[in-house]
Amino acid sequence: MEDSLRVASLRKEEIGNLGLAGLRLTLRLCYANFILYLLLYVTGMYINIYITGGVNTVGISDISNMIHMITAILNFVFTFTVMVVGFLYGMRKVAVFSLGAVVCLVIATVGGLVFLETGGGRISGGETLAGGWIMSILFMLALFLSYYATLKVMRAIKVLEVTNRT
Amino acid sequence: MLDSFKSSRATPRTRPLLYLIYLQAISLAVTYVAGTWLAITVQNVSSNLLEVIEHGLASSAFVLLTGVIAFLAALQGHKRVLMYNSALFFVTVITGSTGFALLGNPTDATQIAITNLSMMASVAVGMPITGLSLATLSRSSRGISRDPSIVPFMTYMALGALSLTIVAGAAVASPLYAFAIAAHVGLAALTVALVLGVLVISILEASGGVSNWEPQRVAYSLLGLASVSVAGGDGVIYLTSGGLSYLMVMAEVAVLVYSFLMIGIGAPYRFSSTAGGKR
Repeated sequence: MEDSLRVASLRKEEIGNLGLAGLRLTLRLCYANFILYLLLYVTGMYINIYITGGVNTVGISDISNMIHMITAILNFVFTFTVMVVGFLYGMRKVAVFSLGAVVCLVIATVGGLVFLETGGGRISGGETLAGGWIMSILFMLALFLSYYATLKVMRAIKVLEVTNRT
Repeated sequence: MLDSFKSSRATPRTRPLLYLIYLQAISLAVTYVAGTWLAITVQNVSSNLLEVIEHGLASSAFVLLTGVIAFLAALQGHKRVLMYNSALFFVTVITGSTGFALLGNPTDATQIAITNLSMMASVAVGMPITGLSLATLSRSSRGISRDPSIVPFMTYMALGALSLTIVAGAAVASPLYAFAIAAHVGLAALTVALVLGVLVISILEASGGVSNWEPQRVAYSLLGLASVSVAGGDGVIYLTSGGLSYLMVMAEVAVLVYSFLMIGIGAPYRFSSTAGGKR
């Protein structure tokens, strides 16, 4: 009876079938992704304050923009990978939260491209500013969703550790 | 650390990983063809925006799949697949960033040469690595630790020679023209020889009564040989006529050679086989 209750409560926990070692590796990937989110924020704010703060514009081939875009590529790949792991190894919430983050990042990237394509500066017009705002807001939403996915991975690890399962 | 996954992983899922590698190979092929099309037709990037977007989407899919494959390989304990795909991932990200620089300076000859050569280098690294990943994982899904035939090894060599042929071909537009032409022709001949070798050994394995005889390998290496021969003939026509459309045909046929070699590496397909089971 006690065992069946335990099994039933574990089912609700959604630990998936990745195993403890795999979950720990996925958690490391999530941590690495947060570092990328931070870098993305820092490089984005640098461009916002020091380059496009006045009348200057930012171009696609500027070094600061290239670093920002490379960081964005890595961030997208890591988030997408967590989503794939969630889908393949039966962690529905991890997959759904990461999918939300992936969708946000795609739309944010389109916003960034609109920003660059329509002038790349604060005084370039309404479309440019709209692109910039879309990029910023969806970046924050993606960060929030990735955070939830990470919490679910951490929860699964805790459950496996407590129940002494690998 | 990776060894711990081999003992502790609960349900290895090799088959989804195999499908991802096929998708990765397709995206690499599309990236290469779209990139070649862009390189030989581009006069002004802004007027070829659609082609730029096509190439960008295909290359993004390639880098994304490479990253996902590397991580899934780590989860399943395939150390070699992890290492090679991680290296390919970083090479592709770095070389891809030269594309951003080109978009900013589309008329700069030096920038065009750097972008062409670095992106071709990425394709060159990608071709043998996708082949190696596919061979390793298809063996694993069949429950074989080591392939008894030399054919897969010769196929990697052929993929390597093909990719170097592509790089030498891209270098023809650089100041190293004479050296690049000689290297391109020599490496193309090596590719033909290796594909022919794959075909001959596949047939000999059959006639010798060796148990690992695979008719699919014979068929695909034959198709690969036919494609590589067409590419060679097309190169000769390009040299005599100078039409840029022949360059495009050569790129498309090279992609066919790559595809047939990849399918040959993944052969034989036994989807109903229980050797891999639900993996």
